[in-house]
Amino acid sequence: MNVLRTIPLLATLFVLASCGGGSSSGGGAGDGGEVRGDRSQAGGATTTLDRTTRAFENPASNLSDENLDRHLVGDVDFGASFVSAPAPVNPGLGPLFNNSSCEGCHVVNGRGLPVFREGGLRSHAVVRISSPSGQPELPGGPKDVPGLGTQAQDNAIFGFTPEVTVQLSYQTISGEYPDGTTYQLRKPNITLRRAADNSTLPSDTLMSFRVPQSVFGAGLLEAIPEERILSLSDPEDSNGDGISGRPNYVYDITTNSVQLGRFGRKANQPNLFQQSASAYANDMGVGNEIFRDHAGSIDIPLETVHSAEFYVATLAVPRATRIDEPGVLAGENLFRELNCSGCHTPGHQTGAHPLSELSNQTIFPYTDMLLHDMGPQLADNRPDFEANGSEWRTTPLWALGLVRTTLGSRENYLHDGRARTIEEAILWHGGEAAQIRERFKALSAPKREELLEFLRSL
Amino acid sequence: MRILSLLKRFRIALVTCAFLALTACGGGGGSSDSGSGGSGGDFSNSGDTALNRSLEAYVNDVIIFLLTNLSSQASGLQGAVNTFAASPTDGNLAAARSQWVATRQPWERSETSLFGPVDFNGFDPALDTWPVNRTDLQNVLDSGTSLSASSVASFDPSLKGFHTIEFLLFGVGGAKTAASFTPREIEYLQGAVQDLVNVANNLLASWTTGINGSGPFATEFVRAGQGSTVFPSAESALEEAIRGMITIADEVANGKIADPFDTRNTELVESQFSYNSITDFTNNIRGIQFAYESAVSIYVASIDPQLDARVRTELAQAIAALQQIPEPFRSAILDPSNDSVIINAQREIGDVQTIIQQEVLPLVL
Repeated sequence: MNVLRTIPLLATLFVLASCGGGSSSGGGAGDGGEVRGDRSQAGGATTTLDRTTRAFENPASNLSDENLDRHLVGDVDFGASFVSAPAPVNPGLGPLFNNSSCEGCHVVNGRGLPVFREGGLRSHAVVRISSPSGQPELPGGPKDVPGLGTQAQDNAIFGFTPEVTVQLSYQTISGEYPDGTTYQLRKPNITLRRAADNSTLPSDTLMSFRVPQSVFGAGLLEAIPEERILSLSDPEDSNGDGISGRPNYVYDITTNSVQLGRFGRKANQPNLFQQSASAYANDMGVGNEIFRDHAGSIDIPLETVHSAEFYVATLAVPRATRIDEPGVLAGENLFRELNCSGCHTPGHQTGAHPLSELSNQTIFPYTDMLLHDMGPQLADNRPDFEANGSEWRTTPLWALGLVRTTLGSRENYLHDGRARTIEEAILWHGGEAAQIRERFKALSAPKREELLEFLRSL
Repeated sequence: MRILSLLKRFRIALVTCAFLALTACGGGGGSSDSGSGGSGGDFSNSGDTALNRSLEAYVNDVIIFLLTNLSSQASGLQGAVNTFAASPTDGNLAAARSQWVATRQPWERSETSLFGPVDFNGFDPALDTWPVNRTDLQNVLDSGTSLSASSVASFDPSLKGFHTIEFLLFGVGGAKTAASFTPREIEYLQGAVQDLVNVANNLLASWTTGINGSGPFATEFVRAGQGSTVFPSAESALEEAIRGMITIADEVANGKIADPFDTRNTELVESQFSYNSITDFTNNIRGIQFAYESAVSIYVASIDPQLDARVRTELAQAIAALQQIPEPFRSAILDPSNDSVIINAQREIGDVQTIIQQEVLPLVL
């Protein structure tokens, strides 16, 4: 993170209404109306000019002095590396965990890697598990695997045995564009065994292999009005564009009610606070009042959860670049013509939010926050609240071009990191996006490159 | 997040000025150890502008130079620890501690350049995780768990790396003596140092030759704007270098110094086991100075020689101001008579941060 706020530079501000506008062929899942504006300011007034590897670590550019102070305190909490209790600093790790700090998985606040127990990285990826029947962990949610819960921990403090060992292998799948260009994709295969005795899990265990998502901009996503998200939904595909778009409704522990899901790969968390509390307990074994760890203990006060939540909510979003370059503009037009924007809705206007810095911002995250059937190849076949085994929440595309910058040769995309390039990620799209994928494949190589160049400019 | 990482990754300072003279650590002591650059690598790009030359110098004379030194010093640490293991005398313990300090120097100076492989390959946590998991460490020592190098390599990062080695070598408050070492502590030390050597070598290789099938990251940097997909423009690569300077200056002034000083809390002073913070802070700023004068200055001076001169002056003043704070820092913050020199050092480092952020950074935006 950077303590100082980015210095605004007028020279970088482009007011190109046409770039954020243009008619959308095919429209979105529903008819939510298009939000226009300067799309280079991807995070509205929170936007940072930083496009380096530190781009995700900046405080929102519009934070008040008071909130900047809170942000900096939250930064320490987000970076805290937990250790076994008792300890003078950061006690409470485990006994079972996947990683020992928030930033341990979210590399420089960006997405993580598809790795399990790899040296200094520890485990970035997690495997969510559930049973097809039995008692759900939360009302309406995934059902526990007896003795393991709904997330498999592959690390443990000394003296404890992790729940599982994870083996990850890949199958190569070859394909070809209509123009004869060939490509290869890799499909992951996960094998879980109980670490204690190397036995397999029950044959009907449902498994979902997930790579951590980037965390910047989450506060803005939380501030998108529910009505806006619902206006984009089209569960019956009434507009006949082949895209439905469904909201997930999930259990909110704090209010003991069912709420719109926003966070997580399947939008299975209603808000950033619950997402944060769950991550402390499930990913790090750091129990709190919302979710206990495996020992049933509470290791941190809710204040710490709120502090990490605040930090994430008040991170800046990196600006989009090169928005006026011809190649990028051509790619942006293709993005609309192919109807990628049907799910990756470019712009939103945030509503009222407890943090004024996040309120009433015009943002360009390129997501509709809705669930879409992505086809059998990407399906995890593990329902999560109202999301079925083929549905995933549309992933925001803002700062997509910085994945390569932050992760270098280890760049990866999609929920399990199987795609090694943005192009591969497109080629994996199926289900509601199958037609769009085929339109992409039918493009000439230069046209395909234009689309990719647009995506890299985000 | 690296700024304000005081609470998670204390950086350990040098024990005596004698180690500043280690030529392999970025030069000798004083101001002469910056600006001269090294000759660590030979990566080049196709351009001959000041910007291109700046990038080449940053890769070859700063990053690869420092990481080569880190690798070399880590091997030296292994030699010293093995000597101590063979003959556990207080003299050999002192030599091993000295070599640990010498190994820290290039690492700390490289902290102005913490990006790329050190992040996405997990080398930073493998080398520098803090705090040490002392509960588990003691449990490991008390158990019959193998302490071979390969076993230690499989341990959690909080059970290896610089700070675990520091804890084993120095003990709480630096009170460890050779006679107090158990055989398993010595065995653990050897395994942890072997792992440190391996990680340091891999970090260097990730820049110079590439590892695990990927190419050398140095190529991405020097070819910024010339085919690199990591850095789309030469300016963006130099921006990376400049923002690294801003980050570490801020961390020293507003984290490492401010947190314990503002609260008068000695528990927050970095270097839990060796207590040598002033030198530590100074090395961080010297790392900025080294990167600036060796590389970034080439570009800045080509545009604005006066700005270049002012940056150099600010850096020298910040280092001089830091050296006015009496060691150990944990005692200094409890004596109000030191307040003025501590505040002055913060201000001088703040001036470095300000001039880089407000005047140098815009040159590449």
